[in-house]
Amino acid sequence: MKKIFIISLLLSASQVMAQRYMTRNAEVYFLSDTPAIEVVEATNKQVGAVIDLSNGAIAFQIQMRAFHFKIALMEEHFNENYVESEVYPKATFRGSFMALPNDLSQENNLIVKGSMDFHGVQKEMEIPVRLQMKDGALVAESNFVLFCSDFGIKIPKLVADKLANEIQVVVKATLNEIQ
Amino acid sequence: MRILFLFTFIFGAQLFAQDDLFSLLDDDSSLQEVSAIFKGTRVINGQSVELPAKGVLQFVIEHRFGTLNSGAYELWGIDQSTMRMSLDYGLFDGLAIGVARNSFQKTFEASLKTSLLKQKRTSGSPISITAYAATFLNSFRWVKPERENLFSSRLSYAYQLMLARKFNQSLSLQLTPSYIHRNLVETKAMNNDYMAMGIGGRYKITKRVSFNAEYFYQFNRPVEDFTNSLSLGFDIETGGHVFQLHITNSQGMFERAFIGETTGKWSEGDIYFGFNISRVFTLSRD
Repeated sequence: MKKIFIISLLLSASQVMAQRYMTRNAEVYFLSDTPAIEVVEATNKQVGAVIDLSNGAIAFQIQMRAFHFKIALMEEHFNENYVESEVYPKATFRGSFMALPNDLSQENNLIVKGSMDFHGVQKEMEIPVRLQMKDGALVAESNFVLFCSDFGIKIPKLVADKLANEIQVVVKATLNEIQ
Repeated sequence: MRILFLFTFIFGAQLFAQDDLFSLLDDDSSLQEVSAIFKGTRVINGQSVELPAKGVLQFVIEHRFGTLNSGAYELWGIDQSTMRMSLDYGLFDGLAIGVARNSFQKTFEASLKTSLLKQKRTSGSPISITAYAATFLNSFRWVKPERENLFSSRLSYAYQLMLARKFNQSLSLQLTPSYIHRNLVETKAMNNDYMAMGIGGRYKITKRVSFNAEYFYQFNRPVEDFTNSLSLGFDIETGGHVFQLHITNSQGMFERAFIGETTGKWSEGDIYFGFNISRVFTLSRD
């Protein structure tokens, strides 16, 4: 009994380890598309991401202070007035692929279902992800929309024409197998 | 028994796998620099640890009206005003240069401000430190043109260290050890050099409004005619502008004047109402 348990644990553990892909330099870009002259957009190139192909699990970790804007004042307002990075320094997403095909040599349009934890609010989301294996690395890309109002981020009326409630998010990650 | 084992194994492994994914990613949020210890580059009169970002030009207009106790005839000071205009530019990350003109004693100003240390979120440095140096040029016509007047007599200098900590989202405090040198003083009773310690802070009432206070204690005070500077005010942020409204017993808006030559007494109602308006322009972005 004990033997079977240990063997099965070892087997499954080794399988799990062999199929994990990770990066610390994934990119997240967001845009608040408004007619204003100065559009609000920022890029974070220090996003951590892990995908486990054995069970389809996926995790993203996004440090708020690593979002960089072209305009310094926008960055200050982003941290101070909107995402409150002092209190909520990071956002995380954890979830899993609804159905993960065995063949990833072609680009696959998949759906990830999981929980977004951002600005102290947890929200269940379904996010489309394009996934492909290229030269031994796992390439994941996604475009989706977030609503500020879903995450308790209030936009004052004064800046409503400069800052949209609807935020377009673009994610690009190239993950390498963990040895 | 077997079922129990199987059960814990299946679910345990799955849970383990989920949390483990995050354990693979480093969480370096504790080392992040805190943002915006103060809204503006000035607490009220004195400099704050903040400075313009690289490529940012900051234009500040400041006014101090007459004293509130000057009565209805002067509209409680509104009829008289002194002003200061300044341009500050972020040359690099953590280095800014500035020029200014004060109508008070027709003073020109040139300054250098540099960030020495940045406060981190939870580990790393607990405070931010910024150094400030300014030269002031009094451009009044000579009082006695018949005597020999040296250009150097017009100059005075201020050197300050700003040590600040953002305790939480609302509260930031700053200590400002200051050293001031005047090449020429008016009377023998006055010192050419003096030291002062400033203490200032802000408390955010809402995300865009904060209450600020600032006090400069002057050591080795030369004569009794001068008092320490105490200022109270509000910062109001509206997008690209920061409005600072305040009352203070100092009429001068540059360091030598408000730290060393404040004459107003709060107890006698010599209080000046004033404001600073700052606007930033992003000249280069990369």
